[in-house]
Amino acid sequence: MDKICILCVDDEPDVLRAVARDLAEMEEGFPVETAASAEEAKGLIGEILKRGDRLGLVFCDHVMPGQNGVDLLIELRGWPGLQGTRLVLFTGQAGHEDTVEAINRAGITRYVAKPWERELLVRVARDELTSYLIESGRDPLPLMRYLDQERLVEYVRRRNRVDTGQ
Amino acid sequence: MCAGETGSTPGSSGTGDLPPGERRRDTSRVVAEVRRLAEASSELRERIRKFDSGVLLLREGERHDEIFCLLDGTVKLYKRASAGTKIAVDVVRPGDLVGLLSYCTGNPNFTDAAVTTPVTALALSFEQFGSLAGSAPELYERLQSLIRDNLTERYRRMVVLHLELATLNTTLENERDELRRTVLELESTRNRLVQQEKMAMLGRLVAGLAHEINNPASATLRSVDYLGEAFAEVLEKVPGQVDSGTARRFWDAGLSARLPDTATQRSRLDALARDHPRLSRPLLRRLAAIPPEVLRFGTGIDPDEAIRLLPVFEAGLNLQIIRVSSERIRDLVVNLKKYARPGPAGEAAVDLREGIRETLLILRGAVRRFDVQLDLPPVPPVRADPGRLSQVWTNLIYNACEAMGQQGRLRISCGPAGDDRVFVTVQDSGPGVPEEIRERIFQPNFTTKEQANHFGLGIGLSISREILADYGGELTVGNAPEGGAVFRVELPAAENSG
Repeated sequence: MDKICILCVDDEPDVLRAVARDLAEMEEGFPVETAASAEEAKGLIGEILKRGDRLGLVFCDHVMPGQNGVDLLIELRGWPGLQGTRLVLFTGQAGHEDTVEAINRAGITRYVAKPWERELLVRVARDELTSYLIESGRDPLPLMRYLDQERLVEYVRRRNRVDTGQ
Repeated sequence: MCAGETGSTPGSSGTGDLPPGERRRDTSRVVAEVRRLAEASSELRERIRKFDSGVLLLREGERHDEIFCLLDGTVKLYKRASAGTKIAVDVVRPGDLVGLLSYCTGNPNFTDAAVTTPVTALALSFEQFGSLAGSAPELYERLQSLIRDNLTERYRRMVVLHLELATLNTTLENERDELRRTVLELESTRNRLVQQEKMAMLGRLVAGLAHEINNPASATLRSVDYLGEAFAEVLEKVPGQVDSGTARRFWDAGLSARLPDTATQRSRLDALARDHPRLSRPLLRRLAAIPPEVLRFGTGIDPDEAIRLLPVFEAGLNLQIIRVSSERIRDLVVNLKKYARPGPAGEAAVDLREGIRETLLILRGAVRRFDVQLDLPPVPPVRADPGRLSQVWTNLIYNACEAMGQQGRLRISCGPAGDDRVFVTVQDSGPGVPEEIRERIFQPNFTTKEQANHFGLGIGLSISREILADYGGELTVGNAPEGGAVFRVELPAAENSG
C-alpha cells in the first residue's frame, strides 16, 4: 500500500477522537490510526508495517494504564522499520525526568502539552512529516499539498542541483 | 547550687560524705591557745582586730601583705567568674587562715574575702608572720598546726567536690538526654500542628474552589439539557431536506452513543471503506462513530443521506460529551467538597468503602497509571469522622503509589476481622518494607522519600496511626508473600450496626 500513517496513542477515547478530527485535513495524504494503549499500539504498528505501509509520526500520551508513553517511545525507537519515524510526546502530565528520558533515549523531537490547540497540532504534524519525508529521501511531490511547501521546494531544488552537479 | 555553698557544709549534702573518721578535726582548742598566746604578747595583742560584716579583707587580683588567722566569725571567699558575676567558693571559719596563698606564692590575692559574720582575727603582716618562728615559737607552732589542718581540710574538700562534680555530671547528662527527648517530641508535635494547619488551610481553599467550580459546572449541565430540548424542537419544526423522524433517530443516537473502542472503530472503518471506496477517510471515520443499527445502509438510508445527517449525530454526540464531562466535573467537585471538609465533621457511622472510593477519585491522577484492583464487599459501618478517615486512605494510597514508581498493581480490600471489627488492606507491588524499619516508618519525620515534600513532613503514617487510634483502630504493615507492602487497618464496627 505504501502509505505513510500517523499514529495517536491515548487511553482517553475523547482525546483520540478529537485528534483524529483535528488531523482530518491531512488524512487523505496520511491515514490516521488510533490506539488506546501501548500494547494495542505495538500490535497496530506491526499490522501497518506488515501491510506495506509506513509510520511517519507518533503522537503519544504519557500516563496510561500498563506501559507508559515514554517507555513505549523508547521501545519503538529501537524497532526495525521505524527508523526515521518522528516521535512526539503528547501529554499534560509528564514530569521533568520523564521528558528528559524521552528526549535522550527516544529521540522525541516535539512535546505537545495538553490541552492543545488544533492549529498547533496540525502545524506540528506538518513539520514533522515534512522532516520525515526529507530524511527518508522519498519523492515528496505527491504529498506536497499537506506539508510545508516552502521547505520542500527548497529541498527539491537543492537535491536537483546536487543531481545535475554530479 | 554553687561550689562554695557545698563546700561550706561538708558532710551535709549527702553526696559528698566521707567516712566519719575523715571528719574535720576540731580546732577550737588550738584557736583558743592562739588567742591566749597573742593576748599575752603586747606586740601581738594589738594585731587582734575586729571586722564588721561586709568588710572586704582581701580583694581579688590586688596585693595585700597581711595574713589573717580567724579567731571568731566567718568570712566568705568569692572568685570572679565570667561577665562580672562572683561565685562563693569557700567559707572560712575560726582556725582557718586568709591570705595564706598569696603569702606562699607571692601572687596577688586569689579571691575576694568578705566578712559575713563579725570577725575577730589575728592579722599579721607577711614580715611579722615570717619572723614568728624566732619571736614567738609557741604561737608559731600552733599556727603551723592550723596551716596543716587547713591544707588537709582543703584537700579533703577537693576530693568531696570531685565526687559531687561526678554525681552532678551524671545528673546533668540524664537531664540533657531527657531534654533532648522533650525537644524531639516538641518538634514532632509542632510539625504535626503545622501539618494539621496546612491541611485545614488546604481544606478551606479546596472547599472554596470546589464551590466556585460547581457554579459554572451546574450552569453548563443545565444548558446542555436546554440545548438538547431546543435542538430536538428545531429538528422537528424547521423544514429541511431530511426526514425529521430519521433526523431525530440520528440525534438521539448521538446523545446516547458510546464512543466505540479503538478496535471496534477500526473494524467499522475498514468495513465502511470497503463498501464506500469513494468516500474520504476522515468522513468514513466520522460515519464509523455512528452505531451500525442506526446507520442501516440499504434499509432506506443511502450514504448521501447519512452524510447529510452526520452533523445531527455529531451535534448530539458533542452535547453528550459536554454533559458527561460536566457530570464528571460535578462529581469531582462533590467529592472534593466531602473530602476537604473544613474542620471536623464529627463522628458518624460511616461506610468506609465510600471514603476509599472518594479518595481514589481525588487521587485519580496519581493512581491511573497502576492496575487498580478493588475487592470491597459490604462491611458493617465504623464510627469515625469521615474526613479524618479520608486522610488515612490518602496517606496509604499515596504512599503505595510512591513505592511503586511507574508501574504496578494497587490492591485495596476490606472485610470483617474477627469479633466486630473491620479490616482494610492497601497492598502495592513495590519493594516492600524491610523488617528492620517496620516500626520506624510509623515514627514522625521518618521518610524513605528523598524529598519529603510530597505530603508534607514524612509524618503521614504517624498521623494515620493516631487518627485510627482515636477510633479504637490500628495500623500495621507487613509484606505480601508475592512481594510489595501490605498496610492493614483495623477498626471496630459501629456498635448499633447489629
